[in-house]
Amino acid sequence: MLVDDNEHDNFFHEREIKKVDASIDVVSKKSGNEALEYLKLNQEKENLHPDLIFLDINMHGMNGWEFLEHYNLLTRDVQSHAIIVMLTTSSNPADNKRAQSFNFISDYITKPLTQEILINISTKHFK
Amino acid sequence: MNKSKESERTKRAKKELLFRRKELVQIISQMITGGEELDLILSGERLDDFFDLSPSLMVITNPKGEIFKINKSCLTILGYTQKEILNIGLWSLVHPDDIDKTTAVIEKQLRGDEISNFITRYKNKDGTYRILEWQATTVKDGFTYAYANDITNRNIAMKELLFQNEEKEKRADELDIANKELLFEQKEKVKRAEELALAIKELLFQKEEKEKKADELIIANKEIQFQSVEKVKRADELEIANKEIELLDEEKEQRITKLGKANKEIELLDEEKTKRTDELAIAIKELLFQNEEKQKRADELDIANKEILYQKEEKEKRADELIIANRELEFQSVEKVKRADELDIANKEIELLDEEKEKRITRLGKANKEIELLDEEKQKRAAELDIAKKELVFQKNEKEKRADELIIIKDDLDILREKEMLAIKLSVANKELEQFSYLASHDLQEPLRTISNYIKVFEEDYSENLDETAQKYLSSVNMATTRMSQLIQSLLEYSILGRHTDLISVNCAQLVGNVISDLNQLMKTSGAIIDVGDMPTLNLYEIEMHALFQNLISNALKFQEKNRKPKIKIRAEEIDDVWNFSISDNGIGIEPQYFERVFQIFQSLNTRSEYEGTGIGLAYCKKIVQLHSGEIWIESTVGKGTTFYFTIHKLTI
Repeated sequence: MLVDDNEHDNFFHEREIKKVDASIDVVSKKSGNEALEYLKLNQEKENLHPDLIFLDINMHGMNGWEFLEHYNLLTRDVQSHAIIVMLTTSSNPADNKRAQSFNFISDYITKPLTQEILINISTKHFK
Repeated sequence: MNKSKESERTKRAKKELLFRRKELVQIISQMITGGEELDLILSGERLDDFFDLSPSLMVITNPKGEIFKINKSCLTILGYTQKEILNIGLWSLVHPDDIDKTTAVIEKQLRGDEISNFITRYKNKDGTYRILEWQATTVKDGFTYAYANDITNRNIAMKELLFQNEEKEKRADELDIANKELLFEQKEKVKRAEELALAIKELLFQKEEKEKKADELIIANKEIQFQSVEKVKRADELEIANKEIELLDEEKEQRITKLGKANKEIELLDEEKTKRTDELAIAIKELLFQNEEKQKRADELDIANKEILYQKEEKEKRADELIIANRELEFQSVEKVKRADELDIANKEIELLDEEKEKRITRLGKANKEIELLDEEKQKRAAELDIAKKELVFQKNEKEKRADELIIIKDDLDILREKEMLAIKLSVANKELEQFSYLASHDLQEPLRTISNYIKVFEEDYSENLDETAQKYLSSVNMATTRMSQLIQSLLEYSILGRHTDLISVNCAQLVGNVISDLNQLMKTSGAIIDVGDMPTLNLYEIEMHALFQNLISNALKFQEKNRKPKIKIRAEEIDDVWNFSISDNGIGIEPQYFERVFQIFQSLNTRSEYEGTGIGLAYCKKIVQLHSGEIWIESTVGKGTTFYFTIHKLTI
């Protein structure tokens, strides 16, 4: 799942993901709210749970941090599958450290998302 | 029965009347037709007889209205003797209710009018009233000849007729009603008949049921016979059982004796019980006393409840007050909305202010350059100070020069102070800058990223439609955006240098090792060899030091002849209270006139196409070194190599 309010970034990243593996389903959500809604809505349907969430920090409305706070409050079975990667333009080390304070954030990478990064993540977490 | 008698009376009355009328008509017609008989009649005696025989009342009155002659019928009908009538006069016998109309008629009569069929009532001596129908004629000499018929009976008969007619009508109505009832009863009978039919069918059905029951009874009886056989068997078994019971009875007697003993025990227990009951009585008295206490509590509770009620009323008052308060809150929230709008306006003003700030940033850039110039001047001044100090030791006589030089030094100090002031202002401005720098870089990077990403998409999706030139153009655009992105990144790093870090103890050998491993790829492709000497552990700004080494080492790798393998030597030496680091390479070297310039921001000595570089790196390095209160300088020979030296003060955390 891509959580980012920039449509262009979502477009590119989806392309890159599909280039790595075209069978991967990509869901884009333009805000933290929409992402949370999606997760809650599909609580029952396990096959719709995202395995990997790329989360932007700077979004209008609910930003990445706020999303994480709410995500923390979700039930385990909604959470458990997803690996969360902060994918952001921010090179601010404070953001990096803040990301590390959440134990369910696996990685902190800066945009753009490339095939290389994807492959790295997938080898790290899924194999 | 009365009816029939009355109708007979009526009939008789009617018959009499008719007979009398006929007589009269006969007489009168004879009078009219004339004849011998008429003459006879007109003779006195016959006239008298006729007068008296007439069944009608006949009265002759004189012009004064007094009675001249009356006939027998008058006397018989009214019940008086002639003397009596002449005494009292007819007028007194008139029914009181008929006096008025009789008076009127008499007047008419006196005027000479004919009176016919005038009905009035006269009282009989016995007190009853006779209804008389009068005919009267007054002749020329004023005498009045009047006769009347007693129609009392006729009236009575007419009334009875009417009454009987009414009765008949009532009977007729009653008959109607009775007929309707009969019809209704007949209908009811029909219904009953139908119900009877249904009842009969049910009876038939029930008879069938009974027959079935009878059959079942027969079966039941057979079963009963069978069961009586069974009973006989049971009876035998019972005998056996009875014998067993006799045995049990013996046992019972034994138990009875035991019971006797038990009873005695129970008597003892009863005595105990009486004692308990006495105790209970005492307990009951205590309970009564407690009940009284409870009553008192209950009364107290009542009082308490009343208080609670009172408090409830108070609460309600509060609630009302709350409602008022809530309304005020609503009003205030409306006010808040207005404030929010005002805030919007304020935010827009802030945006305007932001634009102004950006202008200040450019101004600050210029200020930074001025500061750098001043820094250099300071260094020059410091060097001169050293020389002046040495001369002082040797030349005491040259106080005036020293004094002048001191003045110069003071001027320098003033400049220093100015510099400090500027530095403070700068730090303030830098803090403002820093806040914007991250945001700005983020906002600037985003469209760049979009551009380069879309170019990539373009290249991937439309590669068939693009010729080489088009692809070159796209590639140029891409490179430019990449370069700009790097520039922004470098600017950002440069601007926030040293803000967020603290001094920590760093093992420099490890730090350098990390940098080299990060540059692994670059080293492999160039086939570089790095020689690292002993490194101390110092209190440093770790991230910045990492960046410093990374920059210098990557420069060493980068600025190299194409086919030469880079050889890099890194050393550290302790001199007094500083550590002196050096990074030497065998690269292309730098001309001496540029030794200072390279550390200026955006100063790149090579054209971009030859060696990639944003031109920020060394300025960055210089800033990092200054952060550690050190200095950085170059020694280099063009074509042979370059050594970067920098000092790091021993800083305490």
